[in-house]
Amino acid sequence: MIMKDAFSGLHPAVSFCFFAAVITLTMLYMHPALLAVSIIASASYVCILKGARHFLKTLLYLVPFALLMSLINALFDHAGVTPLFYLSNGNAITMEALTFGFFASLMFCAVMLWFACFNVIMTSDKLLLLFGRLSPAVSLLISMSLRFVPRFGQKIRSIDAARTQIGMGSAQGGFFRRLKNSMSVLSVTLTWALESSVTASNSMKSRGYGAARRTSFSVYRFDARDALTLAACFIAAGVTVACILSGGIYARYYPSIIVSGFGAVPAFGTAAFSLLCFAPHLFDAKEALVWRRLRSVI
Amino acid sequence: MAAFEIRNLSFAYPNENSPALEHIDMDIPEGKITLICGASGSGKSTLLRRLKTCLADHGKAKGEVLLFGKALGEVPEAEQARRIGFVFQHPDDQIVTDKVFHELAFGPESLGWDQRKMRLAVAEMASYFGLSELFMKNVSELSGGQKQLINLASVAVMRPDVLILDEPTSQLDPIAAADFLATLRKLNEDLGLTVILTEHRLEEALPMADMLAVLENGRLIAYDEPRKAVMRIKNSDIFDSMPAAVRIFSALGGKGDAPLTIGQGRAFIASRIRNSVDITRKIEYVHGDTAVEIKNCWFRYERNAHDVLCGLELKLYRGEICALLGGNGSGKSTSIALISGRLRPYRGKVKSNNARIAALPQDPRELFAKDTVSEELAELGSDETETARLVKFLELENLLERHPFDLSGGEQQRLALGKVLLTHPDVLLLDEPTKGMDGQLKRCFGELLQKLRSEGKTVFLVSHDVEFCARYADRCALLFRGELAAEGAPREFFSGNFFYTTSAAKLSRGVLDGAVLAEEVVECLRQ
Repeated sequence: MIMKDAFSGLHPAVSFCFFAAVITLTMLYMHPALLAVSIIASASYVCILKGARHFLKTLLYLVPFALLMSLINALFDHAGVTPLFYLSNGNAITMEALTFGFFASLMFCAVMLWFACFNVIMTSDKLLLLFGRLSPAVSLLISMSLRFVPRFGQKIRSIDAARTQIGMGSAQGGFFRRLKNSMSVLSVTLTWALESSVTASNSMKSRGYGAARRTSFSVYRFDARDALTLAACFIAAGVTVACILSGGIYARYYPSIIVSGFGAVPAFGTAAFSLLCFAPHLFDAKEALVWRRLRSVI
Repeated sequence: MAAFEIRNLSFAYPNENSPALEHIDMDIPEGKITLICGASGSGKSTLLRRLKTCLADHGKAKGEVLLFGKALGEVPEAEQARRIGFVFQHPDDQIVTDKVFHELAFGPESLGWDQRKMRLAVAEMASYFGLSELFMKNVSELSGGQKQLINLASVAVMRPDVLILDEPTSQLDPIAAADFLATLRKLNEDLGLTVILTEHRLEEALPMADMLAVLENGRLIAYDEPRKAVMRIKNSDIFDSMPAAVRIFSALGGKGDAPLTIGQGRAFIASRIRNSVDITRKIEYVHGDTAVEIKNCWFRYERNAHDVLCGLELKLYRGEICALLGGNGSGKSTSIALISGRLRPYRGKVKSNNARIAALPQDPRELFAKDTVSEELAELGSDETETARLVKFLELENLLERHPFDLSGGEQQRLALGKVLLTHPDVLLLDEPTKGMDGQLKRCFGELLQKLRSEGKTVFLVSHDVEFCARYADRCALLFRGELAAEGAPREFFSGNFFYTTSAAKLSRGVLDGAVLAEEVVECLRQ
């Protein structure tokens, strides 16, 4: 079942920063603890956004792909100090290469899952709003293309159907005939596009396009809640980065595996990263709690 | 005060001998609805576009236009953009962006309003028009009527003083058109907006207008209150497009103010008749061989979708004009696609007894791929004598060297028909052929169809246009929820219907049963 997600109701800028931070940190540093946090968070968030069924379907290709990737890494990369066995040509399969391959594919999976969430939440209008801030003209251009491209495709089909009726459809006749017919369908569509753009440009002019300096309308409002969430994300990401830079969280795979173990700094860093990755979950949980409390009051 | 004062305005397009507008002199009153009508090519759109500088055509113009007492040319562009709202004919072409909310905000964005002002204006308009459900939607998901409402809302959002609309309902079905006009009227009544519109749906638009201006060949031949103005244009081409009540009133030599609505018309007819008459007679329908037979057809667009056609049974005979009527979504266009073979039923059969079938697209321009009319006709590679005969038949003689896209709507329709006829079809399928046509064009087109019928061709049309079907079809059928609800010859069919019928039948019900056309009512009342 798909649950109601409160996190996606935040201002697009917050959502965008969140994804940017999570995805960069996941790719930046391959530490087992961080990867585990990231993959659990992303997998469960996919379940929330798209439903568990969809997630299981994704696993069907993600898991084989991950296994294959770690295997291939071990087969072609022979660095590392712990050989497990030797191939017939004398090359060693090392534990380091296997481990590295495994974590690399894990990282890849986590990033894929985060992008799946990104696609659900960052719809075209949200992206438009973010980049529209940079230039209202660019934002208008994108919006107009988003309208025009599907219309163009629709018109091609409709013109083809109309011309099929007089024996000039793109699927009628021999090879060259078809080619010729398809070309004229395209040419009719282009003429139509030019014709309709005259009305469009009149309609734009008539509504003052070019008469004053353009502004950009936004349906989203950046409020205190957005600011708070954004600040929290920044702090959590900053703490994680600080822990990595200070060497408190450390992972090395070649030539021998060294991974920072338990301790105050790694625990602190992992906790901060968890806070970041699980921010949507915490948000949803809080929302659910509020609703439950409201319901019991009623 | 007048919203617009038009002083002795003349206009000619470059390279044209006759002027498009000649000595137009009129004051358009503030806060009123002014309806401008005229045959196609009479200069309606040209006149409307002269009322906004950025839309005015290039050419030689004389005379002047004043906006609330100030010369239009001296009102800055940004101010004109805000104060004069303009809605065009095609709902789809004038929408610029992909989302409803963005379209509403387009004007305010262009005028550089700040976020607060924009938010308020957009929110206000969306609630006034009841658009909150559609607010976040993609424009492509909307129906034609909804799109046109968005277009209206997206100019109203700038809080204009005047709304100008150029045939805004010509591409809409009757229900969406009535909705649109009702919204327009509400805007006028609630906010005192001055409305100027051209329309060919006079049956609905005329009663709500405060002033009627009639143009003929670029001249203003009448400008008065509608009930008075209609009596001054009896000899004009446009009189055919007037409401049935007006035509009956005038044909019977009525004096004074003409009736415009069905109610007023009924009162007039009742005053002219003593005893109610019933002229209904049942005529056996004589038909030729079966050309196409639809046998128990079921169709749906997707596996999990609902059925669009549920066991449709219909026969088309040789040498008849058969009209299929029905509301939106009743499956009219789908049945055309089934007959033409573009779609297949999942159950049932379409049997064409070796008849060649061809469909004319709703938009005739979809068939045009060449630079001149004669090249268009030559594209199908038929012999010259046949082409010449067809050119004569369709009255295209004087247009052969013109570009197909420069033709008027009615001429384009005839050219497209010519291209389809060159494939020698026995059965001709037409989807809403009279969309956007005025009374005169409809008559030409209807007569053309009757000529085709007399050559033994079968014409099958689906339409919302009750008046056209009543006049020109031999047989009418009503489609409802994917099956035929009723079928019969027009007279029998329409006099039996209560809502879904012609204005003449509505006008005369009870006093003169069985009359379907205005002429029939006139004839009976004369006797």
